[in-house]
Amino acid sequence: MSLKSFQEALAEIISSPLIGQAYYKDPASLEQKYSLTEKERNRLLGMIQQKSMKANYMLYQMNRLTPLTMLMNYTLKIIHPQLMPLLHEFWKAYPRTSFQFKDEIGFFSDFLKKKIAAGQLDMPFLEDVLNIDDALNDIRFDKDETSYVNDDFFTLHPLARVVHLTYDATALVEAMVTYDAAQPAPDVPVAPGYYVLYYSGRLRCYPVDAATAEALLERRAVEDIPEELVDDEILI
Amino acid sequence: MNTPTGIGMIYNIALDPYFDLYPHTLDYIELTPDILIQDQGPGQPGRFLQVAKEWEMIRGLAQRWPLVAHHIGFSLGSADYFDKEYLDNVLQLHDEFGFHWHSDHLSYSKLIQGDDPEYNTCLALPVPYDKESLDMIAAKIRLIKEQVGTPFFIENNVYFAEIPDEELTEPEFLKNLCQEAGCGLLLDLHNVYVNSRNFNFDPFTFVDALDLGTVQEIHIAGGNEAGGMYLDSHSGAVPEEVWQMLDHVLPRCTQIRGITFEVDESYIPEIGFESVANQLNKARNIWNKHKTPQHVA
Repeated sequence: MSLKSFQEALAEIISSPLIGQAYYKDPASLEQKYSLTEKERNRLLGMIQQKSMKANYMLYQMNRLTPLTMLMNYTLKIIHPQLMPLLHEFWKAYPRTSFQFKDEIGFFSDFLKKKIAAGQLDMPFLEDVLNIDDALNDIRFDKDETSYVNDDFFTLHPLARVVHLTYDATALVEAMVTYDAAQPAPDVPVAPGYYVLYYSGRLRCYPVDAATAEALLERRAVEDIPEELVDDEILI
Repeated sequence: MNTPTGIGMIYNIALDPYFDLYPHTLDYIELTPDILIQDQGPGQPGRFLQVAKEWEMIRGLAQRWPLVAHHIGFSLGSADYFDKEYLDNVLQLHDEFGFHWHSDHLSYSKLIQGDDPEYNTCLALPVPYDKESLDMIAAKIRLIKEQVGTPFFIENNVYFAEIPDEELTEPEFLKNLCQEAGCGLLLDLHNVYVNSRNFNFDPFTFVDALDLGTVQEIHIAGGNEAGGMYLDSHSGAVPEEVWQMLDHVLPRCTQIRGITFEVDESYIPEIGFESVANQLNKARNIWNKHKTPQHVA
C-alpha cells in the first residue's frame, strides 16, 4: 500500500511545480494526504528539490497539450491570448486523464463550455469554433463510421455532423486559416442557423433549415430533402 | 519465420512510404500497438478499438517482415495494479501477428486511487530500485511470459528525477530483475545517454556495470535539449556518443537479437527518409562488424 501511495504522490507532484513547492513548505500536508513511510516521505521531499524536476513538469504539460494542439486547432487559435492560464485552470480542474486523446479533448471542450455558459469566457467566435472542433473530432473518432441518421431513404454520411452556429460556417472556417488573435477580429457574416459539416481530410459546410437539421438530429425522415446534400453525397 | 536478428525500426504512421522506398534497410519491424488503439478504459465493452486503416497497413507489413511488440501500457511499475484486460488484448494481437518477442518499460504510468477508474500519469515515472519493486515487477513479467509464450524484455528507463536512498543501483536492479523474472534486457542506449547527461555520470562506466549477457535488444535514438535538460525525444540522428556506446557494448551482448532505431513521427518531415535510412545503415555497419554466427537465426 505504501509504494502505491508513493507513486500516487509522485504523479501528483510532477503535474505542477506549485504542488511540489506546497508539499516542500508543509511536509505534514504530504503525510496527511498519502500513507508514506518516513523513507518515502524523505524521498519525495528530496526529489522536489532536484533541479531536474522541471523536466517532469515540462513533459507533463507538453504531453497534456499535445492532443489539444493536434485536434482542437481552431479553438486553440481563438483562446491563444489566454492559453496558459486556461490550461493551468483546466489541469487543476481535471487533474486526472486517461491520456487517451479522445478523452482529453472531450474534457477540455467540456471545461471551456462550462466557462462560456458561466459567462467567464467571452472571445470572438469561440462557441462556434468549439462546436466545429467537437464535430470534427466526433467524426475522427467514430472508428466504426456509424452514421447517427438512418431513415428508410437517406442516411447522413458517416463523415458528416449537424451543428448550430451563430456565424456563417464556410466564412468562419476560411477566416480560421489565417486567424491571429493579436490582429483585429476578421469580418465573418453573422448567419445563425444549422449547418451540416462534412469532413474527409477537407471540411465542407452546408447550411440547412431548422426542420431538416432537427430531423437529422432526431433521426427522423427528412421531408424536404436539400438537393445539394444529395448531389454531394452527404445524404446517401 | 526465424527470430529476427539484425536491424529494426519502431513503426509510426509517418514512415508508411519508407517501407517501399528502403526495404533493404530493415530486418524486422517493432510495433507499439498502443499508438494504434483507442482504449475506452477498464471494464468497457469492446475496450480496445483498432483504427481500421492503420491496422491494414500493419497486416501488410507483417507479410513482409517479422514483427516484434514494444508495449507502453503494461505499466509494470504500478504497485498493486495489473491490467489483465490489457494483457488479454496483447494476447489477441499476438495470436494474429505472432510477435517474436514482447517488451515494455521499467516505469509506471497507470494508477488507480480510491474508487477512481484507472488514470494516467502522462509520463513514464521511475520506480525505486528496491527489493519491493523488483519482486512486484518480476511477478508481472513472469505472468506475461507464461501467457504469451515468447521472450519478454524490460527496457531501462529514462528519468528526470533521481529517487534518493535506493537499495540497489540501476545495473544491480536490472541484473536481478532479469534473473528473477527470466526476462531479457532491452538496453536503450539513448536512455542511458540522456540520464548520463542530465545527472552527470559516465555512460560507458554505466554500461560496463550491466550484465550485458542479458541484453537481447538495443534501442538507439536521438534527442534534443529543452529547458536546460536533454530529452529522449526520438528526434532523428543518433548522437555520436551513442554510436560509440553501441560499438563498445555489442561485442559483449552475446544474446542480442536486434538493434532498433526509434524516431518520432513528428520529426520525419524534418529529417526525411534518407536520413532514417542512413541511421539504419550505420547501425548495420556496427552490427556486421561485431556479429558472430550465433547472431544469425
